[in-house]
Amino acid sequence: MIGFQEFIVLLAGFLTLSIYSFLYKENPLYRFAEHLYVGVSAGYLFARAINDVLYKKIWDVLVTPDPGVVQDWWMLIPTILGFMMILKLVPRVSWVSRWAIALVVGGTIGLVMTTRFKADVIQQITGTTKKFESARPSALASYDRLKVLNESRISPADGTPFNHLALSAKCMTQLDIFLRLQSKELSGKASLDSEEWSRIIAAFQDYEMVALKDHTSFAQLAEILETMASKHRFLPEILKDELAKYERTMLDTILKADSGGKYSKEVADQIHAFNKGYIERQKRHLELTKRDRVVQDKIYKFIIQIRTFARSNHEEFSSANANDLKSSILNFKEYQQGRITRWASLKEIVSHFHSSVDDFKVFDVDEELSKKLGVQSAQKFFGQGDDFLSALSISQKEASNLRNTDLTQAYGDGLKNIFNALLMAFGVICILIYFFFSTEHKGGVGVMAKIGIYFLMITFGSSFGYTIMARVSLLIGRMDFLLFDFWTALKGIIGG
Amino acid sequence: MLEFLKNLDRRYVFLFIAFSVVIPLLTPIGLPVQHDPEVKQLYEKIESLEAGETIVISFDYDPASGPELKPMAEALVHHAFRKKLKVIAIALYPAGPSMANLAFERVIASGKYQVEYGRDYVNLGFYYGPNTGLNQVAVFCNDIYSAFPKDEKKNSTSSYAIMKDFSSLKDAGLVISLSAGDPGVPAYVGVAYAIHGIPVSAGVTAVSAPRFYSYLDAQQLVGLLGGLRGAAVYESLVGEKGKGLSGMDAQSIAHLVIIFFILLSNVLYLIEKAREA
Repeated sequence: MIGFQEFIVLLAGFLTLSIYSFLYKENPLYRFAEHLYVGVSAGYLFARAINDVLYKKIWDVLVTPDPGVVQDWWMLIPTILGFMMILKLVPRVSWVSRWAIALVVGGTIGLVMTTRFKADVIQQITGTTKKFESARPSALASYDRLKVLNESRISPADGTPFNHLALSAKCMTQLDIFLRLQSKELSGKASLDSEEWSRIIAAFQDYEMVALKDHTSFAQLAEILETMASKHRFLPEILKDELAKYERTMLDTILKADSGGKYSKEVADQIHAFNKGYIERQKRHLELTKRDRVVQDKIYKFIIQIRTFARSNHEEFSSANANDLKSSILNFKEYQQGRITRWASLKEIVSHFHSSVDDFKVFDVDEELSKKLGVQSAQKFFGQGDDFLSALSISQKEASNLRNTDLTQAYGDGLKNIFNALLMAFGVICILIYFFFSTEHKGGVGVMAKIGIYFLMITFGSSFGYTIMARVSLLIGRMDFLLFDFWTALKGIIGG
Repeated sequence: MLEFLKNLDRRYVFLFIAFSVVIPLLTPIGLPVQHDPEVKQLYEKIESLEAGETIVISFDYDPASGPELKPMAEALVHHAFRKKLKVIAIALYPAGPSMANLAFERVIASGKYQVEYGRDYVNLGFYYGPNTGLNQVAVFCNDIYSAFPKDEKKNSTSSYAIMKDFSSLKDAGLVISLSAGDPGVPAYVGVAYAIHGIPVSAGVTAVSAPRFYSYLDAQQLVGLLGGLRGAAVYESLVGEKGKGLSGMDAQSIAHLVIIFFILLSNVLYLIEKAREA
């Protein structure tokens, strides 16, 4: 017996296949499905109109209002207007419908004129001209970027400490850019109460939050490493137990196989193999014990380094120093010097991190032992760290480039943005000229109109690409349905 | 060979396209998905909202555009519920309320959220009006109760806790239109953003996406999800693998096949031209 849900799935699958059968050639099944689709759509629309308009808005409001709710007699006006529209079907009084239609058309045109003009003309022109503004490396644009970065940092999608730190590195670079641009724009003219100064203060305060989170992230990182290190301490003990077990097994084998002091060749081979394994394990034990000490030292040194850095990072921007905020901003050059030192110290830690990565991978020495130790995969852990390192090295490179660049001339994407803005404005003008038919398209105007056609062709081409993407998406949707939902339902019928 | 390829029955091309979609669906490859800035912008906007704030999702599509817009709807609802945001669903398409119900049902069925109808989310239904959608949105921006005196379940809209401090779209932290065309995004940008300054975002079918990039560039939209790819990127940002991500392999392979046929036909054309010369 087929359930209702299965029946619907099978029917939908059948209709989908009927529609697709058109790809082979036109056939009655396709026509049936097509007509059914049109009919059902119209029926659904009609039912919704009855439910959403006649029932909810008129019947419910005028005839059966909720208890305690007074009838809204104003609804009679649209009801009458709606009725007047239907009179279009009666030839003798069809003129009455014009009143209602005129009201709707007039109201809609009024709304279209104001809204579309604002959204599609004024705001679009503003958007095109704004591109030039954003292309210039302004402190305001840089502040906006910093704000976006800080916001994304407050609640990142992936909350690992490495993830926090990678974002933080980006924030540091952006803060550098902003402060340099803003200080150039200020040139000592603006008062401390000006908008520019409040922006600087806000940026510093936001950064204080970042520094606070850095502290937490570094602490988390140190904690993870410490757990790994402390668990790692038991590694030689576990190996020692294993050796003891080995000894016992070997003794048992010898005792069992002892037959008056004579061993068979088989037993001798076994003992030889045991001896070999024992020696290997013992070597490994010694090696790991030795290496363990070195790694432990390195890890603890690293932990101390990052904790110290985190503390100094936090203290520098902690609330206790908030009173000195303005003075530190005023002494901008000193602040920058401090930042350079901080970058250097971070770089040192990172290079230490780099040199230690291979040693830390000792945790992955034996999968079985890793499980016994109950620590997370070191490879996975340091894999996350690689993202952080690459983000940090990019930020460091950017920061170092920044120190040697005059930001007010051009920064990073500035030239690219200016080129894009010019290209966009040029394209808009050319397309407008193409559609301007009051002047003959020859000479300079003709060339511009021709370029306008190229811009239009590129636009249509990209739209066409998107159209193909949309059609493929619809095909994927249907195939997904046929392969999984429909096939499962069909198998259920065939199978049982 | 040249003649055979020149006169190749178009049905072979259909067959190739069908295989290029079916095979990756059955044996996923897991091609990487890059995070587009316009998708990230919407994600970050929702991230920046405080728990308890309300977002409005306008379900302006029907099943015909479902494969592209349904995954977006589900990913957005997942994100909103995770952030403990309240979600109000409205619709400018007659089938919109059913689409909203489907999205809510699927997300709630995941069992990850303790949400309650009327307290954390509500489906107000469909509002009839002219095809431009401007009139409808103008009403939503002034008095949502006059547009939806009753919700989809035919209960009084004002009886729900979620509607306590919500009287119009002006009270929403963000309005998102998941739109298959008109009425949809232009109406929300034209009225909600341009007139009332309400932040508006959009998820649209790939066909209509190029049209709305101009809104994005002019900062009239806060982020834009375009087609199945937009849905896939959003799913990857939210960390909820759905139909968007699972369809991306098929989408990429089908595109490669299409590009192959375009190149092949151009090469054939050039060879023929060279022979004629």
